[in-house]
Amino acid sequence: MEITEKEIKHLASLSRLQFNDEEMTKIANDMSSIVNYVDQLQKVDTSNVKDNTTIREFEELREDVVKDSLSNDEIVGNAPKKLNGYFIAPTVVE
Amino acid sequence: MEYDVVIGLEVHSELKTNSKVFCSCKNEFGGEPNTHCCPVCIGLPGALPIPNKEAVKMTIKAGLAVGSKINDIAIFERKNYFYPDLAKAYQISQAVRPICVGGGVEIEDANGQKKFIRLNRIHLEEDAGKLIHNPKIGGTMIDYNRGGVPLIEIVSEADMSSAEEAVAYLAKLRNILQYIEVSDCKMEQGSLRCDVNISLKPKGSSVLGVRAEMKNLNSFRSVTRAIEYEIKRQSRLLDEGEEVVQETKRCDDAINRSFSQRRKEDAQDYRYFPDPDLLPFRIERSLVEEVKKTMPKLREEKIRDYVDNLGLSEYDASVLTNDLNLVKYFDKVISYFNKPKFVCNFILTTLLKKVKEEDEADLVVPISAENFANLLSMYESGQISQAICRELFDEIWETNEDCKKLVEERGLKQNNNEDEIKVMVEALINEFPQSVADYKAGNTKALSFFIGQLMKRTQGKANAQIASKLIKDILDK
Amino acid sequence: MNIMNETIENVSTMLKNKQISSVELVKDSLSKIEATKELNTLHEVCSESALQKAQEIDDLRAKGQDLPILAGVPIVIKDNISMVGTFTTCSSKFLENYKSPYNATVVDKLLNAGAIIVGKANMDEFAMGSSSETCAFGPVHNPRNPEYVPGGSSGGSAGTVAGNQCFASLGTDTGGSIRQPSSFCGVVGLKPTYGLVSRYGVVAFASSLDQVGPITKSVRDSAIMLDTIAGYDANEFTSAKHSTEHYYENSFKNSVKGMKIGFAKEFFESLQNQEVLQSVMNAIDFFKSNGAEIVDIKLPHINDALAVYYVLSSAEAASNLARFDGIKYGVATTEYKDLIDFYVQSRTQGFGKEVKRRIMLGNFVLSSGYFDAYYNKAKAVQNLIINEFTDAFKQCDVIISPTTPSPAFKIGEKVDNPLEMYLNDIYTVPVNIARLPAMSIPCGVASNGLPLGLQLIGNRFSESTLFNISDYFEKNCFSLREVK
Repeated sequence: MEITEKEIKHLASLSRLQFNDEEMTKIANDMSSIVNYVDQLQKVDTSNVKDNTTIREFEELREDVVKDSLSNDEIVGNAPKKLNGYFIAPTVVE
Repeated sequence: MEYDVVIGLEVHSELKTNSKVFCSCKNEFGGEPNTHCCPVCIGLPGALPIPNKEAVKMTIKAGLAVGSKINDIAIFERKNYFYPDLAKAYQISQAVRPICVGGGVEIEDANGQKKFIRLNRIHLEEDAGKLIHNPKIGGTMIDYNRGGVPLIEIVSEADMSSAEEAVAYLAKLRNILQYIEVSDCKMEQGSLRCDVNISLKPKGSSVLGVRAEMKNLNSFRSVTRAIEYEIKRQSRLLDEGEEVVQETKRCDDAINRSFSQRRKEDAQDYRYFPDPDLLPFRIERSLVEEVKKTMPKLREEKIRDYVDNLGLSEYDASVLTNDLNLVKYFDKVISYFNKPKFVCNFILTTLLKKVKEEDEADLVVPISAENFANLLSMYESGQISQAICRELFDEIWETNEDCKKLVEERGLKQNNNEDEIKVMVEALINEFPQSVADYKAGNTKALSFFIGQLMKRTQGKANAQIASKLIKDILDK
Repeated sequence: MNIMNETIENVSTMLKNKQISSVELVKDSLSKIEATKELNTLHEVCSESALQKAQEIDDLRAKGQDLPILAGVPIVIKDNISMVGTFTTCSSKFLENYKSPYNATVVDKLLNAGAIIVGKANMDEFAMGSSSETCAFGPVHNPRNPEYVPGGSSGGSAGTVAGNQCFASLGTDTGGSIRQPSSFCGVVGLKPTYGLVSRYGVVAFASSLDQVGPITKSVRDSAIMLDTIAGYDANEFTSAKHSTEHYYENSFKNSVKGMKIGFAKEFFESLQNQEVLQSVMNAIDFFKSNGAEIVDIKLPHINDALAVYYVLSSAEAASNLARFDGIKYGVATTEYKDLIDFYVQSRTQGFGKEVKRRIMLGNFVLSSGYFDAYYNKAKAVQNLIINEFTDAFKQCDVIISPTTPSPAFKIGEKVDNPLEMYLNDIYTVPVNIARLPAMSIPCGVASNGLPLGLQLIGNRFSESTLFNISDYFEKNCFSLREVK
């Protein structure tokens, strides 16, 4: 299967990534070859396969007990932009 | 052209657990920004979630209250999208296997007919942080205190056909969630809010219309307004033969207005998949039974209980049970003073009026149930007069001082001594001959005048009933 | 004697007998790191905190306190493991300045055992790679020959141990990232059973496959390290409730008699490299002649594991790496049109090529229209592979294979062909897919002078079996260290 440039653009938008023209061609090629390789899975008969997903018991969930949070300094310490204990993001709507 | 309106609601309600749904931070409204936060709820690299037992139990409880089936295995999935209030850029939610499936609630439609609104599911997820738009800094401030607060989403089928029905449904759900004590449902704080899906189709047609979604509505009024607006907008478009475009409007806290968030052409692809950090977990029947045992009586049951066992009227019981806080208060008061009809009457006539003067939204009675019970008990047994009772009620509403002590200290006990009252009554009759003449001419207001004068002279302490009887006895002679 | 060439076992005894102090040992480690820094194994060296901690350990020892076996021993951890006071960069430009405000559980465990963390190891960016060339801070060099890659993604962790800069390290293994570099560098690497070692605080690549494990100079040291880091963690929902085993004390029987070693021809069908083949055959002969039984087993779908791996690991990675949005930490672009553009620019600037490729691939397999055909199909094949291993382990105790299809390659040799690079993990990946434990131990030297590795795969939670057989091989058949 070939991944088209249109698809790459859609995936880039989902991924919040950008590629220039040269990168676009390269990644379209790379992804096509990887997807072609991965397509070998389509030939595997999985119609009667037992599901092995581990299932946890309710008892393994957490008790509803409050523990100390981190300090505000620790929470926003790595933020590129912060103000008065808040994180600052670009304006959500113009 | 006439249209059928098809409405479905997704109601979000914050659960009142102690801690958040996937970490041990405090679940509490407000607080200094980013102080109820840890690596898990702000999505630091390497942090991992652990589900909260109580949040799961409360979800089960909500499901049982609306007749849902409880799944034996539940799965948490990731809903992937970028938004600044979502710390991990995915929300842990449930898609293919939510905790509760199906169920429904009954409402009354515009004609007073019972209508059953089916539920699709109830699932457990995490709330997002809070955004505060700040034009001064040209950015949006983010507080993740709310991020990771447990949230249930109650998804209805598209069974409603008017704003009234949607509001009735929402009110019903709110009442149920309050009764089973899983949520405060404070709409103004956003602990109950909803998304509305609405589409129109030609009357009688079975072809579904294109739907619009309005997100994040947090009052009954905004729901009504949004639906009415959408009905107008869509019918105008359809009338003019134009196409309704599928779109989502979001009522954003940060900017306090709604805006069209996305259109069909860039429809979100949430890429749901099972959260690999959260394995599926089992919900044994025994757990469901355990939760069932903690289920308090729902409103209908409570009304029946009050009517059948306490002798309240159907109407009184229904008003009293409208708010769970009032029910709890009433139950406590009658545990001290077991005259339910008397207590109910006073609550409905006097207390509720007071509540409305104060604050419509949150029903909080500042008088302790015991103090209130003592007041009513003194009144009912004739120890204090109605006038004194009203006065004291107003006073202890502000202070919650011990009303028994106040009566004692100020000597407010009612005078029930017939001889003493008779002396005062005779004095009044001699003093106001004109009123005696009025009375004899059939003007009943004269009687009230005498009682009023008597109360004035005794600071309200004379037993009005005895006085009234004495006056009548003397003048009718 | 050069003390930095010693094992944990030996230096621990020397520390205990006060033949050397921890401060001296840390100084030796730091000077070796400095002397060989062109290997680029470490992103950060924690000289100050290490010396301080070493002094504390020496003080405790002077007071006569009985200390754990790792107390005072210099250790390195991979740079995707969170540790307060250090950068946790995952060798990504995106996290170049990120300092975690909390410790990973494994770090707490190491520190509680008195281990001295002297540095944080370079790696393939976000653990995506097989050569440590995708490291944003330059490629890591193989200490056996600096022209060659050390393998990846835990290339720095393997290189620092092979280069005798420390005594052991922690790596992470999602598809072979501990075993493959261990094989390339000629050291001992263990990928434990999924869930045995806590992932809390370890920056996730693919949550359902990631596992932390030790890289050491000897098999016995590997058991010492596992004793320290293994155990149930209430902070991780995927953590296994498996009781601790005291591997170091209980694993070593010094015999392979009666042991059943599974041989799956599917592992060898595509193997081109004769030296690799020969080294594994020699090992098989050795085990046979020492009383083990070789059992033919079938793993018919093992060659689909790599495809399963690329689907599942990329899907999880795409979602795990979405949180890197430039708001809470990491790279934030200063020029942008709007919010979406801010995300796009920050992420595009912060991530390298390989990371972008995996995110794109992950979002492809998760996106509507492809989810069933790729994600769900891969899950189904994963189940099939797990079932095949379960059946195989009814007939044998361990399964034998090469760790890699070839010895280490030259830096730059495969960097332009992702698929060929991915094929490096063909023998290691099935182990992660089946959530099993496996070890890589040196088993020979190729004609280019670089080491070859033998992979031994165990059933779930059978780490002690792996320790025993590997230790026996190391002592009696082949070791790159001169055995006394």
